[in-house]
Amino acid sequence: MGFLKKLVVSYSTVILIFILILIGIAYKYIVSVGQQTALISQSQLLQKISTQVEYYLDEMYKMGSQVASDTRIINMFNDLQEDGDETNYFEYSIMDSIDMGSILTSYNAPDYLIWRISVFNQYGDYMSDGIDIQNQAGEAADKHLVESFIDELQSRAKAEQSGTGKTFLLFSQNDFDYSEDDEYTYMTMSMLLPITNYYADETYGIVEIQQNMENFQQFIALDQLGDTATVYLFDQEMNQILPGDNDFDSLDKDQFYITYESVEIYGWNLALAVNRASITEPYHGILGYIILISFVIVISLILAIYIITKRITTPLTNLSKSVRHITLDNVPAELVQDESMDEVRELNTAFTAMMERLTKSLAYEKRAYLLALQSQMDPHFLYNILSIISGMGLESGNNDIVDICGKLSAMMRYNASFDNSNVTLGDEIEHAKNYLELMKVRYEDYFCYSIHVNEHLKQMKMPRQVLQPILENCFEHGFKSVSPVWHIEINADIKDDRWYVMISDNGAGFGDVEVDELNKKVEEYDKNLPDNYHELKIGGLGLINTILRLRLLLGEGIEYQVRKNIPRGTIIILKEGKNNDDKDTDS
Amino acid sequence: MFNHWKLVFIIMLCCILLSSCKNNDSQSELQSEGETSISQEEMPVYALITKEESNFYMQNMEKGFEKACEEIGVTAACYGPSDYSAEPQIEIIEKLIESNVDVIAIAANDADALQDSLRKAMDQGIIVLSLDSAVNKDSRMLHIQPAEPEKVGRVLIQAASHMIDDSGTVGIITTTGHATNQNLWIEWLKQEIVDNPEKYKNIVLLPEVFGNDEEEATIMQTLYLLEEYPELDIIITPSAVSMVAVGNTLRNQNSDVLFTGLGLPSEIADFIEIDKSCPWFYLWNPIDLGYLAAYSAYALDNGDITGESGDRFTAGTLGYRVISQSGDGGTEVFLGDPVKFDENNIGLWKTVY
Repeated sequence: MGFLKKLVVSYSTVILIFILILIGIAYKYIVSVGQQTALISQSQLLQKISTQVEYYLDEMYKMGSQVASDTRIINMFNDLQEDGDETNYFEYSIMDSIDMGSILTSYNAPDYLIWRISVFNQYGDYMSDGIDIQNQAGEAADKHLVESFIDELQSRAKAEQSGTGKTFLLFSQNDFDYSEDDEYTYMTMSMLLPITNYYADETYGIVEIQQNMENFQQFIALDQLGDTATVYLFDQEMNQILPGDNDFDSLDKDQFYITYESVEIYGWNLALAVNRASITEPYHGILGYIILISFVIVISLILAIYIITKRITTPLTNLSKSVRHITLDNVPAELVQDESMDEVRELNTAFTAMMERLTKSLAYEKRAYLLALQSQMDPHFLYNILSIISGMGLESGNNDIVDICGKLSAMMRYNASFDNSNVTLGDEIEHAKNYLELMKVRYEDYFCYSIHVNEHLKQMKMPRQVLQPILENCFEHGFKSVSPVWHIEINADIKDDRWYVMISDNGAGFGDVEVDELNKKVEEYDKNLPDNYHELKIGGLGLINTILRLRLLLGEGIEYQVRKNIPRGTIIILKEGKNNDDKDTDS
Repeated sequence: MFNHWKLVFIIMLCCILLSSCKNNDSQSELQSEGETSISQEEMPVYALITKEESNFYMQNMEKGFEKACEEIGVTAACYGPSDYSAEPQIEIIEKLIESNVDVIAIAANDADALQDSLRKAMDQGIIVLSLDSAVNKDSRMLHIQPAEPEKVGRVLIQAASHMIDDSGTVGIITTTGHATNQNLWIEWLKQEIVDNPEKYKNIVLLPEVFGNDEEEATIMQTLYLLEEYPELDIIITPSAVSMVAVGNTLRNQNSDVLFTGLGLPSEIADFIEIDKSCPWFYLWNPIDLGYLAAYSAYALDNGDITGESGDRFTAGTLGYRVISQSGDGGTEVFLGDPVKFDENNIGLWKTVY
């Protein structure tokens, strides 16, 4: 799996899991809060319905009380009690019938809020106003009411004992029980009040305030509850009144939240059953929206992650590709440049610089290696020749030739040895002595030298051929323009806990300008050694070469001084720097 | 490697899903609007022709007719002629036939004169019914009777007799000789006397005079009765227009003669509350009469009833109604008993109509 894919998949998985957990928690919380809110709302709703039911019944009672206390009605029914005739007086007395109808109509007008107001007595005298019953229906309804006279009177007695301060009887019934046509059968609720002469303590008749149950349901807005909630209405004996087509007892109580309320004055009870599933159902839609929104968010995040990750990883991938393609053969190959991100660009730049330095180092190493091999090839022939010359000198009894050949051979071996590029100061002094002895053979009395070495310094590590280039400079430059006797002095000692090696001659010496130039060159070569090292051939810029090699081995702390000797000549001092104390612990 | 295009495709899919949901909603709204406009265009028109356009009783009837039409969901169109004659009603009927209305309900100025026009309307499939004042049985499918004529006629003489303690002279001012209702009521009024000779033995009933439902003519007839019959105790007038004219005439003449009949509470209230010249009077609710006419028309229009005796239907808030045979051989449906307006309830009813 690629780097980009790994990152995208990893991040996407984390986000997906996070979103899923978030959805789960959010959904559970919302449903929980929703259920609690729904239960509170359900309770409040039932209280509201209960209040409306009570108000509705109050209005019926008020209307009934007004009608029952109307003196015209009381007088009329008082008269009807006295006549005792069991036919309906209002059937044949047109004027009184219209009188009574007008009284009832005037109570109900103009809004006709009561479905029907009826007045009747136990002798079959009956008059009503409101929803009219005509012809055969009217006759049958009258019969029904006549048959219920006795019950009404008994109910009245019960109502008086209820202790509510209101005398009434409340019940529900089918208005046209006889009807064969359901379309004209009304479920009604009736409130009965007595037509009483309070002074005589006699009841002359009954006022029936009748309401259509359908109108009642509309008033308390039961039809607006929807299919998921049902209000059950019960009378005093807990007989179910509403709804007619849904039996409360057969209700699966586990599937519903049920709350109860009581209309205390009228003894009716209410139960509101709300389907549990209906409470959580709306949240399914919300869950759908949450999932959809989350899906869009996840997709957007994945897209964003993909784009961002791609921007980040593309330079790295390209860098990786470039690095993979680098071999010793194509080190200088350029890396892919990407300017889009600073960090990556810097990394790339640093890597490129490192590769460039590595390239140069490898070139330097190659060349040094070739030189070393090359310098090891020729000396074998020279050693053999020197051995022959030495043998010839020995045969001829010329010990000087033997001595010269021995010193020259030792020098050549010392120079050509690559076994250990670092030697001791003692080795260097011995090598310098060989060189100076050979120069002594050449110049005889024109040249003399002296060497003083602190014994403690002889084991101090240092690069090979430190002293010889300086000594060669004496002969090549210093002594050329001055008369003999030429003198070279080498002192190696310790001063102020720091070692030093001082080479002094009595040659022409350095001018101030030359000393400055020398210092500049040392600094310049020191900074850019790989580019210029080929110019530092031994014998060329020998002193610079020596200084730089000392610094490479012993650190930047190596100090040097070039100054005039008195009365003439040059003094060159190589000494341990102040910050280089640790490096010469071997001395 | 996750493909760029796959991501773009998924996002586009989400956008399309969301936008399609929105589009569906918009389509539903458009559809709903379209349906509404179509149903408005095809709404049936129920026309009501009153006896006379400025008649306050008729105007209340229009109120009930319009209210019922609104409940039913049809367009109500009410018209009235400038006088109480048959000719302008015929003109209106002809225009309504041309307009191809669905229903014509008419309070007839003449029972027979409208027959040709109404037959023509029925032949074209228009539902025709009369209300308040009937057309003959061949000119209608159903008549909306305000109250049983027998009850109206009998209660008028019973009330008048009661007001004068069953002894005295009673005059009658009716509208015209062609007014169906009035004639019927007066017939039953006389029949009540015939049926109860003992009760009305001290009552002298004068021959009826005609005020033509016009104020001036009614005033003249009232003055005639007052002048011609000084012993006159009470006037019965079964017409809302005549009631006002009689009351005003009696007031202007400072007469002690009482009057009763069929009138509008708002117009007669002063004669009950102030003048005391009218102890009480009767009338059905003209608003309910118009209301019942519209629901009857609706039952005929949608085929619930055919107008035959025994047909039953529900008339809105008025409830259940049954069609019965009428005296002229046709069919009718009753609004109910008239209401008695007296000092106890006139305060309420004068604000209603």
